[in-house]
Amino acid sequence: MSAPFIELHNVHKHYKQNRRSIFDDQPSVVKAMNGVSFSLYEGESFGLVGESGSGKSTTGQVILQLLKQTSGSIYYQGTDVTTFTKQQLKSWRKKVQIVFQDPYASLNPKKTIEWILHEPLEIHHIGDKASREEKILETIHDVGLDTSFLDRFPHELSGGQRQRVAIASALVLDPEFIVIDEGVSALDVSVQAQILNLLTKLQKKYNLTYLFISHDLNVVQYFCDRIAIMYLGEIVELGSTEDIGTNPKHPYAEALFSAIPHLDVDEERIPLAGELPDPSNPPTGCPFHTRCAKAMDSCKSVKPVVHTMRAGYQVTCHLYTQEPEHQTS
Amino acid sequence: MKKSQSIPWRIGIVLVICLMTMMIISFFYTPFGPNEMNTGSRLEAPSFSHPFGTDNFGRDILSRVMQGAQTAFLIGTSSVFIGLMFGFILGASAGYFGGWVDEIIMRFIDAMLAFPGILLAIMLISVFEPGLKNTIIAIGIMSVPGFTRIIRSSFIQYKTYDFVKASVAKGAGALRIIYHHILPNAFSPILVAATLSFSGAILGESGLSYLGLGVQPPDPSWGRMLKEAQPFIVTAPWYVIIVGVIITMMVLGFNLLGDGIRDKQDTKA
Repeated sequence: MSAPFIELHNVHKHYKQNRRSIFDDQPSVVKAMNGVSFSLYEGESFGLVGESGSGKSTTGQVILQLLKQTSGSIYYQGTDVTTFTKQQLKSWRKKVQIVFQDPYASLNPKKTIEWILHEPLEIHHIGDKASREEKILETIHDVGLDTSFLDRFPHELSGGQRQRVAIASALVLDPEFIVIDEGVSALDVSVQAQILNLLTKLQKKYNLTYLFISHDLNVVQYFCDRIAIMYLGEIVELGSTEDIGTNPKHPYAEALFSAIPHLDVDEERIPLAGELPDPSNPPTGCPFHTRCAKAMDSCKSVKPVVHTMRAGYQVTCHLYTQEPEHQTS
Repeated sequence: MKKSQSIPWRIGIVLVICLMTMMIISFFYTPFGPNEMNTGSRLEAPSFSHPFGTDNFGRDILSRVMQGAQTAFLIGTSSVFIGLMFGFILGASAGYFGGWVDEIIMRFIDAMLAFPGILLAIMLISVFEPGLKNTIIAIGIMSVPGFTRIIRSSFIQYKTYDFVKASVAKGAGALRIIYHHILPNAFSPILVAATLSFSGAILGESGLSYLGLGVQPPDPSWGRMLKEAQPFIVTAPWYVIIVGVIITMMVLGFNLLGDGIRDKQDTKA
């Protein structure tokens, strides 16, 4: 494969929580990202999956530098964006955009659609009045709306229409990379499909790279070329959609994919016991061992390392790094 | 929309409009000169020529109440303006920037809140000198903590909204975010606070003038009139009642107005 478009290198994002009482000896730390590394390639859709609280949204916002990482580096086409100055950051923001989950919260309710689409051009002083207008018209058509929407306010639009406007406002700057943070999760299934098709169409037209953050495996499998699965701030499995979808390796991934209902095959579901552990007090060793059906003794004390099964496929699990005879069934 | 036209809101509107009309008329016409004394007709009961009666110097109470409305509105408007201005600067910086800026500003505000407002005003006026200007400044400063807290909390609330984050992601600076994204949305709670603070200011002025620290004689002020009426509470009860009712109407009017605006805001999706 070619050089990575975006590369995360051992990125940590820790949130310090205030001491709950004066008797706590130290403030607790939530590790929303605990050494996340992966690469995105130009023109692909990369899916980031995980439960709520697994750190997937944090990852998206740290890549865009909306949140500052605690440590680690993020390379965008070879340059480390974590060292950008304010001015560099502003001009870089033209190229990277984000679309949020809730279309009801992501548009300013007091502004018209035209104003919302005009704002990014104004921030970056792009073009003159005529060319901006032209760009806005082109974009609004791109997302499948017409000019009659320009004078309306967000509350006059449906959820799907709002999400189209949110996508349009990300598109007016001609970005190269868009983070779609649960971008279709709040929509009806029929509207979800429309938006996903729209995103695919736009990707082809503008050669966009997507980071698609979702908890919906069906959507991710449909939309993404590659998938990474996050658990408690760490990536546990990463590979192409076919590989993970057909034969997930990590016990967590296995459980997740077995939970997708199938019409034709009578698959056995692997139930996941318990809940996501307290992220401020994660389990020792493998973070997943408290819920893992295949947990071994070593899982409780030894942290598994990233194991590359083959090119482009990695799993972080003791089952695959140790000798076969240590495996338990 | 129909439902939001609540009865308290209507009463508030009517009261405020009545008092405002009274104030506007007083610029052009009062039945008698507000400071015109007539020792021949001291403490007269309400009559046709003096609908509210006369005070201990024979001055027409209606004229003085009308003139006093000017003072009340002047003090209300300008002290709210002062409070809003400083409250906005402090609250917006505390809410938007957070961290140690927030910490320093809010501890300063807490220190201000530790004093009872009226005590703070009395202290300020004693240090300077009693009078209209210093009353406005004192009441204005008194209302700064309230505005700061409300503006800070709406800034904190809207700062986390996705449309603000999306705008940051598009490269917008702090001023643009504050002016275009937070302020238009935070406008209603600020308006409610300003309306409620207006009635607080009038009450504060009445209190200060009652203590002799506010507006100085012979200019009429409602609080001052209440003080002047006190010795005659038995012989001329209408004086104290009328002035008391007028102050109540004003405070109630603005409180109901503020509540009404807040209710309208709540029902909006």
